[in-house]
Amino acid sequence: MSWSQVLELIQNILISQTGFPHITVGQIIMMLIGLLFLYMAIAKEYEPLLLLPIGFGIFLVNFPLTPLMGFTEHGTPELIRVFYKYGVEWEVIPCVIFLGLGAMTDFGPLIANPKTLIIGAGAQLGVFITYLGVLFFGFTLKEAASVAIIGGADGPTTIYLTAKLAPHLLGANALAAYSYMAMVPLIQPPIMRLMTTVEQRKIKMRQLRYVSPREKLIFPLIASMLILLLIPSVAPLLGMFLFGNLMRESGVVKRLSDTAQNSLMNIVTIFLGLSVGATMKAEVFLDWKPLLIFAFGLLDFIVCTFGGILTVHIMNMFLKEKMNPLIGSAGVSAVPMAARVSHSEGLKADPDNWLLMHAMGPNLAGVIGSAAAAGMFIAMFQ
Amino acid sequence: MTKTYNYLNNKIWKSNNRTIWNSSIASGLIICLYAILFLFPMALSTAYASSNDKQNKNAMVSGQELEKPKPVFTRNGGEISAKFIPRAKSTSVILNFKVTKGGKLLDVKGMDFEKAARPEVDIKNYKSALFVVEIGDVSPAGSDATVNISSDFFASGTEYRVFNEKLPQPWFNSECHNVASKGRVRELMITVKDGGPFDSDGQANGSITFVGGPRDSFWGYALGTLFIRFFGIFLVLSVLMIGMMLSGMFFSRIEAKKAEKKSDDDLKSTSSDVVDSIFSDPETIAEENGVETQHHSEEIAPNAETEAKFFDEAVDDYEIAAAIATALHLHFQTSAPTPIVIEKTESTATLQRVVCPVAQAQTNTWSNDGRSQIMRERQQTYNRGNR
Repeated sequence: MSWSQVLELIQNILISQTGFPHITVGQIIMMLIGLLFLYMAIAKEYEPLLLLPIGFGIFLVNFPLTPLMGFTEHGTPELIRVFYKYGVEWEVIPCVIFLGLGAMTDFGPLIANPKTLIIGAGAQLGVFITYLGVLFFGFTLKEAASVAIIGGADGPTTIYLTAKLAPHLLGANALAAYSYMAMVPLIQPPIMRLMTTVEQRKIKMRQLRYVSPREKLIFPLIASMLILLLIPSVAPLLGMFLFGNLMRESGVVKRLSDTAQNSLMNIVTIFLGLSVGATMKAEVFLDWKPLLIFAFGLLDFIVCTFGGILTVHIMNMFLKEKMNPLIGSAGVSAVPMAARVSHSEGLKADPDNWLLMHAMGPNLAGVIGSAAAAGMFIAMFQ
Repeated sequence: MTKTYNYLNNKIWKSNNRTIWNSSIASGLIICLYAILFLFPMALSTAYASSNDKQNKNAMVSGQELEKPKPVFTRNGGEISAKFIPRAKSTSVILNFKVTKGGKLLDVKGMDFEKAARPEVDIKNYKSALFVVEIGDVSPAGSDATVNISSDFFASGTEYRVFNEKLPQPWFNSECHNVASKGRVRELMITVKDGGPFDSDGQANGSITFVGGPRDSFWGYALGTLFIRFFGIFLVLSVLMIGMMLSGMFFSRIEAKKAEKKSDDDLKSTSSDVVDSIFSDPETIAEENGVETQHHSEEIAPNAETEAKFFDEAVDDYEIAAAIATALHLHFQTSAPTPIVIEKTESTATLQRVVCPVAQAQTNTWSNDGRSQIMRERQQTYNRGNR
């Protein structure tokens, strides 16, 4: 073999089998975006459970020639494509996460004060305003619905709806949802202060009543019956959520409940994060739409917070025992961050005002509300 | 206890000392920073994408493109059915084409909207594909044929628009008759003249090529459904609220009845125990309830090493217990501006309310941190990592 042949061989290897000659500016930009999310997850601890795998997924998938998100010559899906296909495309993972969330949730504060369900509904205002706003920017109805649900502040719901209606927006929507959920303590307080007076923030709410284990046990059954009769399309999400909760409250399947809350949920979170991150290839993601999605996602959160607080103000006009309007902002789901924000704002106004458990009611109502909104959107396209 | 007090004191939320103004500015700045962090690379990438032809070719897949209807046609005698998933739908619909008068239906084909796109026509109004309907055997040539298109996808406001590129204004309304048929099916009946404006071949030659598609107002639908669905959520959650209120009442009664079934003597003794306990010495209560006080622990752990070990193991329990005890104590104080009241209904013999005869306590870091501790403990139940 002559030197020229050796050089030619090296050249061929470099060109066809290494990534260097194939890397594009777009891929470098995407890697930087991936690193930004990794920084946010690791250094700032913003939603690390999701942003870390998502960030690394973005970083990983944007290396050229990597066999991760494509198909082989024989049509076999590559590694992360397998996670995506069977987990996200088949809409399995969001529902499994909802199972775990149900098993983790104590509906006591909501059952003790069912009025807070209305706040959960009011806090969906942003979802519908955003839906309308996005339509004006040329998005299709399905795309608009999937972007609008970001304001519901519920990751699995956002992923479930987006995978169903506009899978090409999955990466941007999931990132916007989780990023803004992490930013709830920054986004909500200024709006809360703007919409309430100091006196309103000082309103003390009565201690929640005791909820018996039997009542908690019967809740998933009643909720399934009433919600699924009205919105059958939300059955995969809410059905799993309430099943998880039934396992928890029954107390007889502790092992299953523990698995759903911990091992199962953690496993699917890994696959979900990587899959979602891996959808963000430069050639797909670098477009004007993600920019708009991030802008509208922020608007969505703001209007949802506004809607929740406004709903409490309206309810207070009719209620004998006034509610503290600060708990309205917890109507966006983001459990338990939004409730914590309501609580801390209440403490700032009055160090003896303990709103946490009162805010958990609308917070949990927000989970049901955002799932209901997703169900409404799904039904709309049937 | 001093150790516990210091621990709790150090844990007091710093945020209480921050002014609203400062935190607002901080929030604003962080959001701006966040926006810059995101928007800058994205703006760069957008600029890059638009300046690069290669990137443009691969740019994010358009939703319109993905939602393009792809009809599949089947013939059943004189009727041709088109099955497809329309834009803004996830389930398929069927449109049935037939010629009821004046000719014979030869074929129906789908047509890309792009071929008929004009600036004045919004693709969003056309959820279905455009269709090319070919009619033959129109006799005599130049006479009318009636096309009937039926589907349960049509609404009362559905129009059928015709496209004829040979005309100066290619798009116009067919003025079809939209009538209700069986069930939810509606029929659009359109009269087409051989060689007339609806006939794309423009000749009265016994065959008609009729291009068009059903049109529904996009914005009308979008706004209408927006309104209905938003209030739909209120409806759903209101129904759930009513259901929960009813079940709450039901369970409260069951609990009350259960309590009633328990012996009156037990309840009476319980109430007197509670009253006694309020006025008793805390150490006596602890002893009665089997809780070990520090005094006891000293007896159990006579040497320093054992004592240290005991404290190491029990420090968490002590802190939590101290926090809970303090918080409960102050909670009773703060909620009790009135003298002691013991209400007991004859029917249930249940102790309704017990309050302390002390004046309202001033809130202090002890009570605040005790409550914070309790809240933090309770919040663990909800800690789902925002997943």
